[in-house]
Amino acid sequence: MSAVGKKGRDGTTSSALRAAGVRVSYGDRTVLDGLELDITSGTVTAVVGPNGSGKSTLLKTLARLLRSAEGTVFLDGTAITSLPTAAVARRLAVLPQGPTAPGGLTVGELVEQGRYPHTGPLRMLRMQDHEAIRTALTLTDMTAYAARPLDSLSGGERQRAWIALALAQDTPTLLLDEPTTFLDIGHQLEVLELIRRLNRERGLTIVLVLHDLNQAARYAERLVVLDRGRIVADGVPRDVLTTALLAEVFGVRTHILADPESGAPLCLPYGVVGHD
Amino acid sequence: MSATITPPAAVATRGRAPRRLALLIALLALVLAALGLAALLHGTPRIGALAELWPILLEGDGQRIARLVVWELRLPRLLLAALAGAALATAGVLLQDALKNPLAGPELLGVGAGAALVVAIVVVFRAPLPFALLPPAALCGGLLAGLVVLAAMRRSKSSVRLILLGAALTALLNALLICVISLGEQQEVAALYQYLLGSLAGRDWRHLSLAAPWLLIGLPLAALCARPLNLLQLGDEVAEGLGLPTVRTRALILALAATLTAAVVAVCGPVGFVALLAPHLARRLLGSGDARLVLPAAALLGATLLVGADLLARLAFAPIELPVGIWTTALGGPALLILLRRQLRPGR
Repeated sequence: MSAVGKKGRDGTTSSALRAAGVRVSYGDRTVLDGLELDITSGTVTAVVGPNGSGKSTLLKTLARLLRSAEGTVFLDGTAITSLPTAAVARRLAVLPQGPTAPGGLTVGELVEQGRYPHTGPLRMLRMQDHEAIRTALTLTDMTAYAARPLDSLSGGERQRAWIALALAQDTPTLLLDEPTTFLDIGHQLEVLELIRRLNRERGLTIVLVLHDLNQAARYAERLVVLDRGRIVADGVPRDVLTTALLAEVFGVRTHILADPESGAPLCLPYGVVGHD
Repeated sequence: MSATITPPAAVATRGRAPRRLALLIALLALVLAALGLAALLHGTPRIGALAELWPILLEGDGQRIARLVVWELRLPRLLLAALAGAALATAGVLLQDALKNPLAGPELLGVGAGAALVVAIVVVFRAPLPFALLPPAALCGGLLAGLVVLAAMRRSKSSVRLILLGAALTALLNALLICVISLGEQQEVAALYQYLLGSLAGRDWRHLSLAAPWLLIGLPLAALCARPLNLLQLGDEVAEGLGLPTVRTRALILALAATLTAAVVAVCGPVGFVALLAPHLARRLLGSGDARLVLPAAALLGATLLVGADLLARLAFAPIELPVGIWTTALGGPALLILLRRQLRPGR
């Protein structure tokens, strides 16, 4: 299975993010090895894989939070390392896994920080900045919480606040690292529905790391499966999620069904390969 | 707060902190003014009434002795205390927020140790340096030590490693300092101790004019760091993602903190606890960690604390004067304990 050249809605493909021959290592441990990935504008891509397969590292490298030892990441066709930090932040927003805020910080204060790359040297907020903050709060349904301290919120509300921060950046591309972790199923779906809405209504390019394979298959149009720093499968969920792949990559014995509502593949894990 | 009309494009995003800042600034300005007047009036000779002070201050009138004491001793000392307190508190906010550590202080940058080392070398080895050039030499020593520590920190990205590095290098400088001191003779060591404890005694316009330019440029620059400091508090990855070049920004902020500290320790010696206490007190009083509010509040608090402590230093055991550094540490330590007792309680 090679990388899919998926066509955008208007029939043309344009690359929002592209990793070319990217190698990343921590010390002498290579985490990503010669990785090639092209993210088409206006698509939702889910990155899945076992623990330690390099999913977060891939996302951080795409967002330039990590520098690659070899290879280049291109953002809208420009080498990302040649761009100033603020210019990257105007085109791409990234939400790392489990971010923390100082105590007492309110939702509004947090979301306001999203305007940082758009403000001048004095960092004054203008009309369009307030507008973007308002939109971000509305989209995430957090307007009523604006004056509430972050540490007084539930996990789901807090996660929505952090997503609002990324949305206030008003970027065409959004990278999310496990946005549903630690949320109950209701809040998980809430976040995933929001992601779908952002893609469909606002045309955002979204790359997200997910743990739940079924959710990934349902909400993303493309799955990228990582294993030990390499892409082992890449394509539409129906092609990617196969019994053989799940046995090989995750070491689990599964049945794959079609989701009766969406038609997306649904995998039912039964046991660990070799243990039964 | 019912039926408030919000302007269409603005969302009520902040709590009560901005209003508290206004209140706090007004209150501290009053306290500072009262302490300042007391500092100008009290001592020997004592000026009995405000009515006697105004002609001295405004018209340069009054008795010759009183005029001399107010203009040449008390006023520069008062201004230096206020400015030094504000600078130390500001450096404290810069360090605590930039390193995301509530215990980070200027001593981590080796600045105080560097300045003290130069003073110790000059005094103990009897370097042929006029006494008046000691503060500028200390300033150079402080800046140089800060530069060395910052250069060593250059490669390191994580706050924890920066703090460990700073602590290690400062310990090294302190060891050198103790080496030099132990070579000194009784008399010289006694003189050194006065400096090592931090004191404002006998500081005049010359001292003020050495420190003031650095501080008057550094303090407004610190105000420009407020937004970056707020971003850094969200963690490096989030801050970088929001467009802040974190490594470079942090280095610049630390350099600014080192400069502010060096200017203060060069003329006053290392005055303890103000840099640690004022930011914590400011955050608690404001109920917010927003650096845009904490920076001005802490600066004013620092000025008030040091002016108050210096007043105590001068008057508490008059005519003997205990160095102000003893007062700030003796009062600051317990104050910090009380302030942090909630965090210190086990099980949290």
